[in-house]
Amino acid sequence: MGTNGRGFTRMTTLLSMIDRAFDLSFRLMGVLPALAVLAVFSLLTAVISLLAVRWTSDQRAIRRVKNLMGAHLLEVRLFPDQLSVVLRAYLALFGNTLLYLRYALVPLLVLSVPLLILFAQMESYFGHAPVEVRHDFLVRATFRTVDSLTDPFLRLPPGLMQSAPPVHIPSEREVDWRVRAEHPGIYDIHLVLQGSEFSKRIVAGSGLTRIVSERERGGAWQRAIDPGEPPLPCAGLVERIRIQYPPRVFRFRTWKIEWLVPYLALTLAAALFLKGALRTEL
Amino acid sequence: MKIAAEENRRASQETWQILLCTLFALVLLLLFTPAAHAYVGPGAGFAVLSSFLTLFLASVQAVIAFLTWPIRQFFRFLRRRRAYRKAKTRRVVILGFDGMDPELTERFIKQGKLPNLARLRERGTFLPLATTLPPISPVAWSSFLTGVNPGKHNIYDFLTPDRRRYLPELSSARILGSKHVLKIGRYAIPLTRPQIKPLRRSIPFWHYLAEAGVFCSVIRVPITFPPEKFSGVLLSGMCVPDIQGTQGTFSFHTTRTSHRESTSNRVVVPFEKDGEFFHSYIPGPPDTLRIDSKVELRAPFRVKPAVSRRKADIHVDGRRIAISEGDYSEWVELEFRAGVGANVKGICRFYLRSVEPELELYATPVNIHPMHPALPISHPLTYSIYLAKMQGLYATLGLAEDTWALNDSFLAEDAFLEQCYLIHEERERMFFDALDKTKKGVCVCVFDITDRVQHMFWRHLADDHTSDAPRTGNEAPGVIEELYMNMDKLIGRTMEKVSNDSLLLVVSDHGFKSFERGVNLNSWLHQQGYLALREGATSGDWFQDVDWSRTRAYSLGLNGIYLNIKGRESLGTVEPGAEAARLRTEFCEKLQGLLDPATSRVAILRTFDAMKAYTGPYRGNAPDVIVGFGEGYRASWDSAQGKVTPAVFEVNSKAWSGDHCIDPSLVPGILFSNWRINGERHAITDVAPTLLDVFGLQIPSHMDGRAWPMAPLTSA
Repeated sequence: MGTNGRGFTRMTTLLSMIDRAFDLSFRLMGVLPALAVLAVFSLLTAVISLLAVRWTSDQRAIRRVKNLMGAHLLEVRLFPDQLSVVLRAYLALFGNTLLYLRYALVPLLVLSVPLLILFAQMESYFGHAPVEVRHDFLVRATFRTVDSLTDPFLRLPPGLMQSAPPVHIPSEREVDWRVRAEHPGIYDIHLVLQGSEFSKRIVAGSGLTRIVSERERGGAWQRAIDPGEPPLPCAGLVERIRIQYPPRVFRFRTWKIEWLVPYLALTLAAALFLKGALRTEL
Repeated sequence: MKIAAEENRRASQETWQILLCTLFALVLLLLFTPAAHAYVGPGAGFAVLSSFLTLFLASVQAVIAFLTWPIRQFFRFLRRRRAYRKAKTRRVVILGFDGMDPELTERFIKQGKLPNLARLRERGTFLPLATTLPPISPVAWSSFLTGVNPGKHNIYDFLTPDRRRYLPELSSARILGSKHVLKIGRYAIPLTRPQIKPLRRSIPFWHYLAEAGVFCSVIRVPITFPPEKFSGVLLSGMCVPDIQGTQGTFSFHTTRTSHRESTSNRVVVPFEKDGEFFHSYIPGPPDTLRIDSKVELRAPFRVKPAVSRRKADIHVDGRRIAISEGDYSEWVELEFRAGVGANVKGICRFYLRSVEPELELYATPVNIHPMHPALPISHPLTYSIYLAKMQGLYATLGLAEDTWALNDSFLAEDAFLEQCYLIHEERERMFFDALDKTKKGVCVCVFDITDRVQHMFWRHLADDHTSDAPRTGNEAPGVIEELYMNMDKLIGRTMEKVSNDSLLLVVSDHGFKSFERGVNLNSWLHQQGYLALREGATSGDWFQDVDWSRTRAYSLGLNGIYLNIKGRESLGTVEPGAEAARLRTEFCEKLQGLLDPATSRVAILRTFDAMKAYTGPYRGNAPDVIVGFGEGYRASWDSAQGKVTPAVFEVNSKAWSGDHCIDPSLVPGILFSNWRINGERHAITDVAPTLLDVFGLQIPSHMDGRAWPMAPLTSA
């Protein structure tokens, strides 16, 4: 498990609680389509971010510098004949942009940690779709040394079956198994190597559920950015176990886009719509 | 293919981790922002993104501007070549001071109080500048900007009579409703913008200059509302209305009264106590979305006084404004919400007069919001927005200095003076910004403070003035002197920014004299049998109870007598032509030299027959007879408002103690320049043709003014 320090334990506990909170939220919204759930999260993100920006930034200064930026842009249009004025306006615009970024720094730092956690959680739900039933997918394990490649085998639970012999790729220190799910469900597979077992969860079927595509060695940081399953032990022989999940895409007519795009668009729209009501200068 | 995809995926994953690690470092974050995963989230993310968007747009614009600059410059060069080739200078700066008086200026120069004007006089020019008939700001500034007499620009006073209803209307612009309206139930939704019809005629000099390629910045020159399109920038001045469409209606909020009281220039609104808060509202415009248009829009606010600290918190629209007794607030944004989601935005300042024993709060007239103008107040429309973004909110009302509030004792002298200087500081910032932006071309700005302060403080120049208005503040006795000194400093700062080969003109539209006694022209007309009241009736404002069927003449405004002419007035009694001419002559003869029996002074120095005094297509709209009052006199307050009183003469006891609406020979303006100006007679009408001449343009034949012979000092 890597570090066994008290800090790590606390962090793991906290991250587990966050996992559970998100699991509960997604379960409550389970009846909604994925896009609607995404919209709810966008709205919440917008509200929380607006409040955080309002409380942690110098709103008057931001308003002032934004006004100046607008004024300098207008200056270029209003005084096109006066070349020196136009050039000075561009310089001032650049200077004010830097100033604006400086004012945005504090809320940026304040928001970075919660948003990092939020993004990791969102990615675990919206990043991938479950593997399709009765379709082959790959289970890939990367090992610390090439020597380990000869021993490992995969123990599959009922409902999963290996559809081809494993492929050894020594140059990558990797072994790949082709697996198929016969029924929808959540399965735990076990990679057995030199008497040790390393588990990995596999989700088959459909629906919006937490999907962890990769289990990797690491500490608390790894646990934070790959929520849902604990990291592999740092001292173990297995570096990484990956499942080849298909990416989850949202379809808009002929467009297929990943969750980040609608999330970003919806959050921006919600924030722009709500900033007046929440009296936040962005 | 699969291996490549896998490599890509791995690479992408590594980037994701790197970026997450560097979220805490702004510079690295910025470096990685273009990657999709570098999006750091809403809030801060918006800040970063929007600033980049701005920067990106600016950069695109810069590149386009840079690439197309030579082509644009070439065409501009072709267009401007003629103007600047023959120009005597490449830059003209005009500082206009409304009502700056040549006699006072001379006196203060002699006392050594105006060093910059003294320098201009010694090295350049100082001359009296003949004003217009009548010498009223809208008339004189209209002549200044068009170079024509009032018969050609159609402005004769602030007000002009509506000949059908015998009621006053603004002389410079008529604001009409929207032309196309969609009626749904009780709502009438305008489909087009409200129509604003300019009533001033003739063409301002900056239009000619702009056409020739000379850039002009025009700041707060009177009678420029509605702003007209030209190739330059303009912020409208005098006659821009407030949000209610009036020339300035302030509100006063008090616990002293329990009922609302309204006049033409103020609304007194009672406070309603609710716990520790006092509730009131700022009256706004009528809700024109309602078919009846009788519902007044209001901006509610509440006040929490802190008696022991002599302070109060004003809560408006979820914002809290802390204000101390005797202080003005910053500009406060107000929103008047009409039906169907529409709203009108305005701005006002609060002044906390007292917290105890009565809570009394003054609010300035609600100015049109410069960033969200309900009516156009600048050209281009974005210019008022630009100024607000650059320097903050500012007064947009034409007559922003609230003389009525002082005249009616709602503001004390020191509060009024503070208000004037707050507004003046905004104007100075605007002017210097425009000056900075106009390296080549014409920059003209008119400052109003000189007029307003002299109107209200003239009584301090003479101890025996008839005004009995209360005087407050130790600085009051020297307030006009200080005013001139402040303007001199402004001129000094301007001179520092204007080289000798540029032309600097300092002009005023008229001078000033004391206003001690009023002449009620309507009372005189009534006593002489020219104006009749209904049987047994006493007169009210705006010709209430006048019997028009027996009335041959009436007076409205500050200097004019109008004949009740058949076919022009709806209830006319005087035949146009010979009878009208005879009456005009009769009035001129009877009124000229009219003596005030109480003082034995000449109350009316001269009278003018409009048909002889004016030329041009609009002289038919002029008052038929223009009265030139003697020094110390003016049309009385009641006379200006169309009211008949028992006495023709009355004492002016108001704070408004100086005036200029008298005989034009008594109140010339000033003309200073850093160039030597020759010639014999210099009039405000000459400014426009002079400017065209300076830039080598042909002077249009309709202009009445003549170009002054002038040259820079180096070649003088």
